[in-house]
Amino acid sequence: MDDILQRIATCIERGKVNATSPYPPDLKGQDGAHELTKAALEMGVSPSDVLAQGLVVGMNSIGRKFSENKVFVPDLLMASKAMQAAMVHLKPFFESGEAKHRGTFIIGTVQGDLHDIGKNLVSMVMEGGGWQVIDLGVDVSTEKFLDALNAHPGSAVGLSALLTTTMVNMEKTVAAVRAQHPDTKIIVGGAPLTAEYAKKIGADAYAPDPQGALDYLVGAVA
Amino acid sequence: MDFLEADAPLLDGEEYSVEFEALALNPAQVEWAMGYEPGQAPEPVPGVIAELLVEASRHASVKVGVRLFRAPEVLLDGAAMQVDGVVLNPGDRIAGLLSGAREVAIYAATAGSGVDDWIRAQFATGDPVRGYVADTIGSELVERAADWLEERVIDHAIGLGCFTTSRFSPGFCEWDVSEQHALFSLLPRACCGITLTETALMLPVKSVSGLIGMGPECERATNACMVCTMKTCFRRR
Repeated sequence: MDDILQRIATCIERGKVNATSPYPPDLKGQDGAHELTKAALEMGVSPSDVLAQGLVVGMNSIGRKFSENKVFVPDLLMASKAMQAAMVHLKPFFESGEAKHRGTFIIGTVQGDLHDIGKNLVSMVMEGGGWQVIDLGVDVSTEKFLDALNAHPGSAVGLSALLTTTMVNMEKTVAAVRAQHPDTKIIVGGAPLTAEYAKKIGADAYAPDPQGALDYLVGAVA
Repeated sequence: MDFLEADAPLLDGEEYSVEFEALALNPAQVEWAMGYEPGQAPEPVPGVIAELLVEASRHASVKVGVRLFRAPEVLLDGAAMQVDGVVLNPGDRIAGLLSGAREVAIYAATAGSGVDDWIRAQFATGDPVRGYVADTIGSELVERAADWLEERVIDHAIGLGCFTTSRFSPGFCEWDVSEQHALFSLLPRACCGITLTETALMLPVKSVSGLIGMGPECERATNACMVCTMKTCFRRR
């Protein structure tokens, strides 16, 4: 069992989607995340173990290398594609309740800002880390964040901004979330942000990269 | 406004169309922009870059616009500068580097709305790598357009017996991005077809703007990132 979970983790980290995908070249012709996840479940490995010891291990590894500038955005995107291929097999177990997410994470780029690449990377790493992700998209109003929180109480929230002119909109959203859902964990991120600014506006954490967001939330809910 | 051909001399208030080929954007530059040393991006990234560079050439409509202001239209006052009556606040560091400037070039450049649409279409294929590569090509394309303009500003400065500073843009170093509104007020209306949102986001998104100082004592920073205080900037090296 350990072997197949390790192979799943490797496929996720290396972005090996399925048997027909020619990349990475040294894994050409071998099963990918799609086939190995299906096989693990058929062998009787629990969906929770496939998630925790396969997908999460692979995504954590690539996420950490990304934080250390050892790999770059395309590597993370390829890992995410492999993870999505594996998730197809786990989805029915999440829907039936047999497998459980670590929690729910609501994320969006704040009002006035249309940048979404950073937000999407965080979404991918969070999903690979075992979280259900509710992605509200870009130019998201405070009201939309509150509506999502009302629909998914107990969720954590991530706010993204790339401009100094739009990061100021985070303060209003943080205050509104605090007023209605005071225990909500709120993470902020984006190029112009700092830990000091996050503290100033009342957020719980500043994430300098996707893995930082995941690490914070894993610690916060442990 | 009619756009001038790329080989025309630098003229105050004019806008120029620049051919995609003239920008000589190559795969190594795109790889570098993503963080890789040239030739080090893993498969399938190099193949996607090669394919999308060809596609980008069909969607790009690169335009560059410039205004030239000289003393006494340019007044420097501590961390602020006044250009033709418009106050700009680029911050201490940039103002310090502009302190010897007798003339400034205010510019904007865009890859065009077709590139924005094309990038969205690449993300819509469901392959995020294609989307990200297209986005990077769009960013690099407009940076190369600014390089193209900068080379002409340097030639113009040499004609005046001057040197140039590096390019400085709102949103980088200590220059707040909200100052885009003041900067664009110095450019021709809807320069290169670029408009600003209330939050100072340029549309088309793949657009850049900024200024270059010219003067006998001006110097270019060998590494602009050494000047900038934005430690988390995605372009930082």
